[in-house]
Amino acid sequence: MQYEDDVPEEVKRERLEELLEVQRAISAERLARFVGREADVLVDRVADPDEGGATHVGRVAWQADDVDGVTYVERGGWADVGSFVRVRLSASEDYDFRAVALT
Amino acid sequence: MKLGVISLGCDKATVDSERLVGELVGHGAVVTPDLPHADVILVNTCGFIDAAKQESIDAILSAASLKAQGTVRAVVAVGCLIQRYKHELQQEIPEVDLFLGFSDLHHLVPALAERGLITDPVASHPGVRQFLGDTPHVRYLKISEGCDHTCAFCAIPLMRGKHRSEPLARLVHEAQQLEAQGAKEINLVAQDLGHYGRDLGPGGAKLPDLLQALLRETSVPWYRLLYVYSAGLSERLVDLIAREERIVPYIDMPIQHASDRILGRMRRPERRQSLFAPPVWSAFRARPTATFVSCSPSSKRRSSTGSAPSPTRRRKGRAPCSTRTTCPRR
Repeated sequence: MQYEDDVPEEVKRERLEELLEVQRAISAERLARFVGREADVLVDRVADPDEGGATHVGRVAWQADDVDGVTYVERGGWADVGSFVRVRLSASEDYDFRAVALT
Repeated sequence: MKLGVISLGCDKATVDSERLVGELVGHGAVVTPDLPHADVILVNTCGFIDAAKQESIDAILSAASLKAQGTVRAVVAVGCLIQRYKHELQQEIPEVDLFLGFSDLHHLVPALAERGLITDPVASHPGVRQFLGDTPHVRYLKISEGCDHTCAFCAIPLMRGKHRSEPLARLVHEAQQLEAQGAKEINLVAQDLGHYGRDLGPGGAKLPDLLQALLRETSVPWYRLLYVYSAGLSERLVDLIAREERIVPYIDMPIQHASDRILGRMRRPERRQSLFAPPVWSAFRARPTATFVSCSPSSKRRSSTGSAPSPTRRRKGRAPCSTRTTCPRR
């Protein structure tokens, strides 16, 4: 289906990129407000060695699986995948958090 | 029978795959990640956007070529692409043994039995879902099928038909199975969660009733609502989310556009005024955080258990549908 006033692919791509950039900045600003808070993280996996010193990667409640960003947890010890870890959010990026485990 | 699975498409399709594979496992199938040595390869396809269609066709072709090489005895293709293009695909890819649309799925077990691939026609544990992902603690529960919206840009009603709710008791039972399999987070999915129960008759269960039953009958710590149209955010639902710690403070609400003119051309149900109606915004005040989505249609890809296409996680700079933000309460 195509509208009569359809715009060229190139314009669509430019608009998309502009929109994603606006959104990136909004996300970065909003995530920054959470830094310093405590939260529960559901551990999704053990971190890879190149993930900035994190031990685990998981999500806080307002990060949906496969949709939103993730939370990189440092000093998570032996926490199992699928368990909850109490953390303090220590820094934010555009879409992700970094956090330090409290237990 | 060793069963290889390639499951493509959205989280609703993942649920379909897990239900279908669960049925086959009940008939003695054993799931294997080693596709070249599988007896049967099941491909669950996506038909939503061109890239997803192409990926689905590529997956079918790669399964067909494994069959041509010898060990694989049958290739079965199911899902949205098949529902939409079954006859064309039958002509183009005759190596595939079975193309089954949604209304033909009950032919699968008899057809495999006919080929000697299923020896036990009586399911040992009917209705147990088979986990196919990479995070057993995060699962999806599809609470209804189809969609009554008629958005101009969307082919889902063509492929999935009108909206039908799963019975509440069946969903509670399925959630209990997921919990027994280790689920810590269950994501409720459908084309529009808010439509749950509209076809169950007067006095039938609605979304808040389903949520209350799930909370009561399981101990799963996180329930998440993925995709509720603004019209479905009733006061009762918002109050429940505000009150229940185990429903995470997250509402995935499509907005699509800020202009009524464009919303009209998209044949969307909402307008600026309805988007700003009180229950919607009290949803965002109800709990410390709520997630807010402005979205244009795109296909979300899920993992495969086979060695063919690799699991793809959507990350930064992803498809347009990922333009989300997390809104802390001010």
